[in-house]
Amino acid sequence: MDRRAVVNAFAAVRGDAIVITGPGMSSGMLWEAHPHPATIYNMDLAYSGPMAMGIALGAPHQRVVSLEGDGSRYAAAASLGTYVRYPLANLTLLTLANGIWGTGDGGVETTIAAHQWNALAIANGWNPAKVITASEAGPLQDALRTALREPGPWFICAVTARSSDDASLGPDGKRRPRPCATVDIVQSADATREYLLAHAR
Amino acid sequence: MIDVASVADGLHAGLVAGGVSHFVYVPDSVMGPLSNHAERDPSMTTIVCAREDEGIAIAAGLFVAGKKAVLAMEASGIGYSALILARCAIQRTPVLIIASHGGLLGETFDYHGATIASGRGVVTGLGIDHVVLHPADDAAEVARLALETVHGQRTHFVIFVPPHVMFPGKGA
Repeated sequence: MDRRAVVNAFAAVRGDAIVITGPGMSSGMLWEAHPHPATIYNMDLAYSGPMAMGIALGAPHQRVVSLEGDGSRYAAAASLGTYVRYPLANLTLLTLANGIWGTGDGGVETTIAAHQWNALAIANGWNPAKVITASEAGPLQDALRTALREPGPWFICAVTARSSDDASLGPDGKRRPRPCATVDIVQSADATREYLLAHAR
Repeated sequence: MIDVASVADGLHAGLVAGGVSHFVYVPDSVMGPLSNHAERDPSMTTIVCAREDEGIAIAAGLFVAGKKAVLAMEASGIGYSALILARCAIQRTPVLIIASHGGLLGETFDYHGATIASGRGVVTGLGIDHVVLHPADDAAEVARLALETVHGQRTHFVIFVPPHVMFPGKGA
């Protein structure tokens, strides 16, 4: 499973969930797969999860998902405890764990292995029944469907190929243009707010 | 004018008058009296954070969801928060912070030097408007008017509260 497979699996079941994506290529991939107006793309490093928590707190009738890579999630490791202090039933953290910090040449390995994210979440107090690791698209999609239907918070770790550029290669093996959302960060924040205000209860 | 007995009373009264629904904070000794007010106020939902920059991101999410949040922290927390403050400024998400220290008068202890320098450095560097509360100020009006500006202009604002203002006659 590569990053695009994770993003596509999520896009297929997302529905009208509010999404904040972290920095990196996954933002553009989600835009390509499912350009929903209630999406804030390319949130700066470490803040996708906390901002998603704020939205989930303020809009309890909406499902809210933070989609970000393991590097960005790890940069906000302290927040794992905050999500437990205020367990929001409508919040899901989807962590894309490719085992590297994907900037530069993507050669810096993470110190936390993909299969250890569940232990980190549980050590911070997460309910083990709501911490799921998936390395195949089918089980991942099943987990996401559950998370978007059942009370959370949910922590889902999607384990992907350990490469920074695998997902940018097309079926022919040639590099694709870097996927990029064509709404800017001002537009996406405003569109998300307008969507939430229009759907407020 | 709102009738208040202390600076913490006044700040809290101003936040209530300004319609704050969520009080996001990292525990801090100088901000303690204000946080205690918020914790006792059934009209405010309080959120205790692990880090100040995390709290700003949570408050930003609350704004996106149509809520009105305020943050309380030590000034050093502003020092941690340059990136998320810059992001919020660019995407026009308003942020109001009430921060301890940050003034120039009455700072007794050397170990608050970095606290003050980092907090003031970030607000200066990012061009964030701010005031230092003085003992004679009407704290309630400062807080209420700051909220009006922040949400009217969709901008950021910091109210610095030195220890001698929160605790007249004492150090902190």
